[in-house]
Amino acid sequence: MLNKRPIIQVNNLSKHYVRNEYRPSLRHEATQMVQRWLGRATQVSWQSEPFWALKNISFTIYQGESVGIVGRNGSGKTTLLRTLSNITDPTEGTVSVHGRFRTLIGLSAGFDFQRTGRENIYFNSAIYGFPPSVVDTFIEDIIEFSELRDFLDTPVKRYSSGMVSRLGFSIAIHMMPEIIFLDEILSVGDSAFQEKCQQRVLELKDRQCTIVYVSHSEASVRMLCDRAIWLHQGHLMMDGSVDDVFEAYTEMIHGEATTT
Amino acid sequence: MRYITKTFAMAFLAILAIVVGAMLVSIQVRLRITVGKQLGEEYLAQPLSLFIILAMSAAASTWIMHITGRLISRASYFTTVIMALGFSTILIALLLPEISLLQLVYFGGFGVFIGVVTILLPPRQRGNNKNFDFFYYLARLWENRVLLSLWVRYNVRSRYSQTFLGIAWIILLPLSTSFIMAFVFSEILPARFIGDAPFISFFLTAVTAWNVFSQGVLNGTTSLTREMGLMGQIYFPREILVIVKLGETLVDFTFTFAAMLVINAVVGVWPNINFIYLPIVILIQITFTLGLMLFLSYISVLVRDIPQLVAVLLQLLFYLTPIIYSVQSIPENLSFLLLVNPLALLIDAYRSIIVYNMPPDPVNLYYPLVMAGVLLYTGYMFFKANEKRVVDYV
Repeated sequence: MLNKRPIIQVNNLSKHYVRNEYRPSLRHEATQMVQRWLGRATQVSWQSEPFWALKNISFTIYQGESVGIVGRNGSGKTTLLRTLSNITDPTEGTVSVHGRFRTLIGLSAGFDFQRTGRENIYFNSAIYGFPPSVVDTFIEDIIEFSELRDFLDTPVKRYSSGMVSRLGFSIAIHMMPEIIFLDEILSVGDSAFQEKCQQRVLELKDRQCTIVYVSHSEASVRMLCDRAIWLHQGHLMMDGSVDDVFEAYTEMIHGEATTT
Repeated sequence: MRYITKTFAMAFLAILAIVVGAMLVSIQVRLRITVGKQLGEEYLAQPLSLFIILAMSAAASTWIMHITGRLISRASYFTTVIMALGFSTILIALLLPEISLLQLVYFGGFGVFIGVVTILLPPRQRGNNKNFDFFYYLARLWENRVLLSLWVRYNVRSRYSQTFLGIAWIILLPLSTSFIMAFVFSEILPARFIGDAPFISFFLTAVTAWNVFSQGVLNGTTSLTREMGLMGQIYFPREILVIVKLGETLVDFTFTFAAMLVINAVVGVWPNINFIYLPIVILIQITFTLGLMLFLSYISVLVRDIPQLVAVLLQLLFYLTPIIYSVQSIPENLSFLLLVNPLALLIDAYRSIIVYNMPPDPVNLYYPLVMAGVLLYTGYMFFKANEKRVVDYV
């Protein structure tokens, strides 16, 4: 346990988005031209305001750790998860993730809403590299866990959001990941299912699976994680034990609430 | 290290422009185009020596590029491209003094096109992307073959899932279209013969081949923009989205091809032994189409007008390609159209196999083959270099 392997390494990660996205359009260009002609040009400088969703983030996560990422809305938590899970590239800096990872961002973790639940199980597993023949060996577990047996041949577009997240979570934890990225996925289901999920996540933790968990719920972070990272407006404010981080975090939130 | 990869990429582009130029030259030799100065008999007799000369010039330009790349430590992208083009043009002019002006124009035009594409939409090669390698990507793709086949199967199935006739449509649709055409050309329009083949099979063969291209390209342009939601949530090699569209097109092609064979048999054109050449021609066409699809799919994420533009251009290309007329009927002064349109030569090859019972002329397949390979390679690398940026452009 002492010689833990670094499994996620993030060095000086920055992610830049353009706030006013410039799409050349004939209408816009024409009106601009006429306005310039009349001497009433209101030049919109499109790329003047770079928006750094993440700025100079560095941390290392070791194998078997479970890390909660907390922060207010728009602080870059989901962007961080996207960068970690290879969906988007960092603008600057490097990210390296060593190991099979599964990502659950948002409710519908990569579902095609036109297809049925069963088809989506096969489809989603195939994205993770499991052929249907292998999926057949554990599809019963997935169905059992998600409690969706009656709706399995219904298109996912007819599911409630709780059902979608249940299916997504069930598939992800049966994919035998080494690392799992969870984004708010547990906050949708009812409390019984939430408890079941937390149980499963704790089981994964016991099996040395690394967990990166994004949540606004202090209770679930305290329960699942033994380390927390606090992001604020794209900056890494604090990286430490859950207690320390939440102490500072709630203090700041209270401060903001009282001043405004 | 990062700079060297860039140099290699540029060197590759130079080679590319040269090889395509070579192909254009060889085709011009072959077709004895009267525009521009004719190459001598010695080139006509020995196309191999021509290729050796061109390969040597390519190697030399690569080497020069490499050296200058080291000397100029911070040469910009633009300068490098211009230098590559300049060197290769000079070399080609030196080593092939008899080259005609028109050939240089073709070559330069293609080079400028590649240059503009790379400058306007530069592949963002990153220092930490150590695996920027064609074969590495192919290996990743091979690991995802299950996903690919599953995706194609689901998509084909779901297209007809809520219809009464169901999957039978996949056979009925091409069959009925072909029968309508057969009826129109045999009953309404007077039956004509092109060579010793009935017009309907002459036309149908070309249209079947054309449809793979046009359907593939049209679907390819929208393949990424349609799946934005999925791409924001989960990672998989993004080219799968494009290849799935090609796969669907190929499934359709299989049935259209079968329907075409039926119609051909009805009018008396039977399958023949030369069908063994068909896989080669089909493969070249698929490669060509996929390369183009990879380019267009990414560009249409940036510029959302591309799908509409492509639809219009395909209409134009349909008439510029010998589909409703034959290669031989093109007037002499317009025959350069064949030089820039690999599809024309491919469709001619399809025709000579299926309709005229002759093996395709291999020299006519050089240019499509090289063009297809080059397009696939550059298209794939271009796509992979930009694939992560796609989700930022939702």
